Amino acid sequence: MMAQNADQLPMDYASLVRSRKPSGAGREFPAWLESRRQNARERLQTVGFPTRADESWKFSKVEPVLAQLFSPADSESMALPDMREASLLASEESVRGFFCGDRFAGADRPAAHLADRNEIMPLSEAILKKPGLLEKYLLSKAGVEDNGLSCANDFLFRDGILIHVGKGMKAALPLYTMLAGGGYGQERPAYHPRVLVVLEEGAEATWVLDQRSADDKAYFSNSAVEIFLEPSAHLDWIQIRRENAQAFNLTEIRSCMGAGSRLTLTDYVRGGAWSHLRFNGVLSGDTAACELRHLSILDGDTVATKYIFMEHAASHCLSRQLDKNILSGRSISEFNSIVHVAKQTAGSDSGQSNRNLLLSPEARAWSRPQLKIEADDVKATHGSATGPLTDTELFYLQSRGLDRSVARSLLTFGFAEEVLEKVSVDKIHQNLTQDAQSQLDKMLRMLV
Amino acid sequence: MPMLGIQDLHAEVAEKNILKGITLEVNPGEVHAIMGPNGSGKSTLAKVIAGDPNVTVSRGILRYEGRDLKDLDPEQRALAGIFLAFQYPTEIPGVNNASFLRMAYNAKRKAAGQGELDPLEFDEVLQERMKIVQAPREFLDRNVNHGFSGGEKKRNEILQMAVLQPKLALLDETDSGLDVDALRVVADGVNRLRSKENAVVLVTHYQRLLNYIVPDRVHILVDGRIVKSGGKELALTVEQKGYDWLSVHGRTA
Ligand SMILES: Nc1ncnc2c1ncn2[C@@H]1O[C@H](COP(=O)(O)OP(=O)(O)OP(=O)(O)O)[C@@H](O)[C@H]1O
Ligand SMILES: [Mg+2]
Repeated sequence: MMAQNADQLPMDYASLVRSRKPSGAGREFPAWLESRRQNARERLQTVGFPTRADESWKFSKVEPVLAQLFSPADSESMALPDMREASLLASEESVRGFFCGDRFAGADRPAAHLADRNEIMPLSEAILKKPGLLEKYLLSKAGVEDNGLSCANDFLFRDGILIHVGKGMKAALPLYTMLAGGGYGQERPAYHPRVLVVLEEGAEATWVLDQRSADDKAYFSNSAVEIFLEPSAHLDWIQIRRENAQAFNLTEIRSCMGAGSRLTLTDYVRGGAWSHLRFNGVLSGDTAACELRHLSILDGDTVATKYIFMEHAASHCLSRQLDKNILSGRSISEFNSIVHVAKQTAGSDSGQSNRNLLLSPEARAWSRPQLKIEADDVKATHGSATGPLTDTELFYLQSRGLDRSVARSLLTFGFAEEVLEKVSVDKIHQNLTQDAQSQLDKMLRMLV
Repeated sequence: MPMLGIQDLHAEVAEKNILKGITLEVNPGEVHAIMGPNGSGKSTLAKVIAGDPNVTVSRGILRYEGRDLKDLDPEQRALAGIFLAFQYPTEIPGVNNASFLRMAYNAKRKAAGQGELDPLEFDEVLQERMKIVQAPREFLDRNVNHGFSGGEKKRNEILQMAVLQPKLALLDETDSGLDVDALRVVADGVNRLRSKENAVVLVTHYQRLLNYIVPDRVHILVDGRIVKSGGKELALTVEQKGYDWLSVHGRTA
């Protein structure tokens, strides 16, 4: 069923979303989910879409995106390419799931992998097989720090991926999911992929989320990731966003971290027209810890914006943020991060650090680390630094016999590697290192 | 011909005159110590020899093995055998110490027309040099100076020196921040790397180092000028009497 008649004028994304009904997709969802989706749609009518007047969207490209003729994709008629070949991890070394645009495109795992350890499955299947789990978690935190775009995902998503690791279980292999955006033969599609991650008490997993473009066509990926870490669960998450120059990517993350749990996110961005990360994390149990590391390598007119809200809602929680950007051309990055330490908590420890390496005089980096502290016993540090490489650093390397261009590329690469070296999966680390190296070489060569 | 020949050298940092007429000759095989109060220009002198772009020579002669250093980039000076152990070594996150040492070592080999060593071959060289300066093995796995303590940074500078085997080593307060044992290790290392062909210029505040590395000459730098030079006993005098007596007499001398 198509919402749009041929004789209708094409509508911009914002108007189209407003006019959509949650059940318009023709798919049967259980009643509890239908009502949550309906609720999201109603919330959109109240909160509206964000504008650049909103503090947390100030440097974003949200208005141009809303005004563009992106329309929710017609997923049923999409021809799905086989993305397995492009996977960063082979089928013997990981448990994999593929998602193209709005559609689940298959999953596999090594033959020897235990069948009951089905860590990755499409939401559409999980709704049938794990209804209780989904009802407990899916969209359960919707409404927290709402915005029109997250509401849009809440009621427009059609399918998605469930990552679930049971109580006390340790995922023996890295979990790998690919979200491949692209035109897929459609004119400016918008996708609303959804990922739900649940690690039960004491569970452990390493998860790679590979967001990429399957072709070079324009699209908008408005994705939502919900993460629930039950007490003592550990999630090591590596996110890669490498998209084409016409791709708009919004990744909205809500993460709820129970007592003693630990989330690390290493996020790598290269390319794209606009990449926006919204991270809303709640350290909800004592001694929960969350570490965010981000690296963007940007050129041309690329924009990468990050909005982080980290809530220390319990005692003795720890959060660390290291946000690094390498910018050339007229690219723009924004690090807008708020750490909120709630009343009646003790022993909070937080750190926010933002470093921007400017390779061109026209590039811009905006930095807004902020602290909102309502408790007394708090340890918090924050800092930011923006600028080109300094003569002092270059001289140090030159004084060891390295010529200036080698010194420059070594320092630039080292700047990136400080984040990349945290990537715990060797093969992914190698891939990203090479990717960064070749992109940085290209950017530096253009400077000479 | 001296290895290092400096005559009436004037130099500026941030458009401020720091070196105000330095004359100094260092010959192969010699050890020179430079002492002087804080801010007198000792590091600036070391840096101008190594080619720091933040220091501008405004007047005077600065020669190394007969070549005018002003014509050489810092890396060319390094490849010609000059090494500066920095007072405040730069931290370089994301660059592995062992690979960095190999890059520097290979740059030097390449300049000398020799083939580069692969990581395995280099490791042999490295093992041997690490023994000389008793550098901890874990230094190799870390990134260049990143998160190193003050003393560890100094030891890492000495490790670099041992790997690069310079002809002219400029050690800028390498002794500051070292514990007693580390000081002895570093001094032994420097002594083992000394030869008839090599020279060392030590900047130090403490005569203690000079008990281990015995200097041929001691120079006192005050306000951008060498106000007194002498034998190793001058360091002892300075330790007892401070610098005040020198600055008054030195300037009028
Ligand atoms: N970038 C700069 N801008 C302005 N002044 C500078 C700069 N760098 C150095 N100076 C000044 O140059 C002078 C000499 O500095 P230098 O570091 O050579 O002293 P030093 O003798 O090594 O001192 P110390 O014993 O403390 O190491 C000082 O007065 C210092 O403040
Ligand atoms: Mg000094």
